[in-house]
Amino acid sequence: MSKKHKILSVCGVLLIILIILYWQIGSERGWINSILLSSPSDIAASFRSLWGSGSLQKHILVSFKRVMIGYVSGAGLGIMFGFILSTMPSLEKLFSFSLAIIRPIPALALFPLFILWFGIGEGSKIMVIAFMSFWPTFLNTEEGVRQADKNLLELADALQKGRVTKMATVLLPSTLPYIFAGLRLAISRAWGGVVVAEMLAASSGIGFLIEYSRDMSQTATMFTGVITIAIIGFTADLLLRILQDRICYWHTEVK
Amino acid sequence: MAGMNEVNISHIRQDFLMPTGGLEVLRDINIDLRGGEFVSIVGESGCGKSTLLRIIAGLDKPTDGEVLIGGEKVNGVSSKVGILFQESRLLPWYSTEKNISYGLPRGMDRNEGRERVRSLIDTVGLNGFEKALPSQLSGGMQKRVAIARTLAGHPKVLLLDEPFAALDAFTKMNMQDEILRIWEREKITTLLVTHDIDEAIYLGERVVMMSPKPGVIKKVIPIDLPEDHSRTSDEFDAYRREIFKEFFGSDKRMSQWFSDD
Ligand SMILES: Nc1ncnc2c1ncn2[C@@H]1O[C@H](COP(=O)(O)OP(=O)(O)O)[C@@H](O)[C@H]1O
Ligand SMILES: [Mg+2]
Repeated sequence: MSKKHKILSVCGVLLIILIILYWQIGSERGWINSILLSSPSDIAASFRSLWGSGSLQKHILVSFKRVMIGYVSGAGLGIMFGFILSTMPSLEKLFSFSLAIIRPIPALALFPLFILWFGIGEGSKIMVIAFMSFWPTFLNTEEGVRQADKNLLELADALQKGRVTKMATVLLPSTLPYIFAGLRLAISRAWGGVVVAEMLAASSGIGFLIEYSRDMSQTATMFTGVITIAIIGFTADLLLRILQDRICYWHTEVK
Repeated sequence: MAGMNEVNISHIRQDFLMPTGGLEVLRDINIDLRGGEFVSIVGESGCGKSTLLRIIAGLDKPTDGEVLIGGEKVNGVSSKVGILFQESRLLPWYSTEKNISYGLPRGMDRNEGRERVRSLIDTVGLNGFEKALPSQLSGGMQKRVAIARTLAGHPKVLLLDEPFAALDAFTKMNMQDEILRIWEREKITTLLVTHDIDEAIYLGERVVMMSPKPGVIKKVIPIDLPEDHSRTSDEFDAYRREIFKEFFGSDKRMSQWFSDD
């Protein structure tokens, strides 16, 4: 990172601190309506009390579990389907029309149906998240396979590598950066999805917490929920990025 | 019975189907290589040199004609033929060592393979770069890895597609000598494709001149140079002149080229 970039990053952090400071002072002086926008200190207090009672952790854990199950199965299927369809042109032809019809359906439009089919409990939420996680990973994996270097694939042919070896040594590694791009897109969608699903039909989870505190007109709690989502989303993306840099080591070497 | 590493290219024709109709890229190509012979093919870009090598390697099927290697008709890729592509084509996620091992014959004993990779790293002078990724190597070094990988397969016939085109003059000359050393030691039948006339003369025992549209053989010139292959000798110059005259006709463009040199 150049010196100029470093200074700009530091300025970026300072900017946020400045905004929070102004926000706090503005709230104290009454420039800001506290019903619409709780002061940072009120939000911190709400955070502390929710954390202290352990209810915040409970909501986080519930949402986290839903996301993990839905995400892992949805993204896993996405990667698998992406690979299978893009390497088997006849299957791709067979399924492309059905997939093209299902893909534009917003996952949340299916939520009521999922409730009908899988119950109002965990099943329907996990299905929505799985559905949301499937598409970005599926499409990215497919694109990755399509973008694989034809010259390298031909090299594998010239060296008489078998189908499986060719997949493992050429196709999979060249697809990995795309798979990670899909995984990162999917995790943010999944987090967004779980919150909305919990707002619509749940009695626990971060989404429920936000919706419930709206009913109770607890603005600070709503903010606590939103900030929690931001922190978890940011952390999840950061972890995936670190994992990506580890696994796709040759990609980072180029920089 | 033909020698194991003899190559017979007979009546090769290649047409590519284009939206505008058929494009004739190669017409009636005939070349016979003795076992262990080094032949250069020289011709301008687009005259079908790569296409010909791909056919010999079994990567493409010709429209007409056939290629025999050791008397056997080429029908798909085989371990008898090693091709060095115009691009280095290294796997970016593999180190030098692993890229070279990638060319080892299937089912080779692990220790034997490791030993072979080590000796190939010696041969191409990449000691100390065993663990380096392709992105950490210069273009010349990447080419060396690709050469070592091709040799790892112990081919009986070596096909080189403009292997040194992208290298600077110094690296290029070193690598040409390296190829000659390897060829002299291993006695692999070698077919080199290039658009560099000096390179064709320096390396080949025969130079096959090709002209484009469609790609045909214009002339075959046997090269008989003193042992040291000196690039500055009168004999070398005479071949250079002969080939230039054949390609360009007029002496005018030739003198221009020689003053540039
Ligand atoms: N797969 C292909 N389909 C259509 N045209 C091709 C194909 N491969 C090569 N050609 C054409 O054949 C001609 C010869 O190509 P190539 O063998 O690569 O030439 P060279 O290696 O001598 O530069 C070029 O005009 C090229 O555009
Ligand atoms: Mg070429």
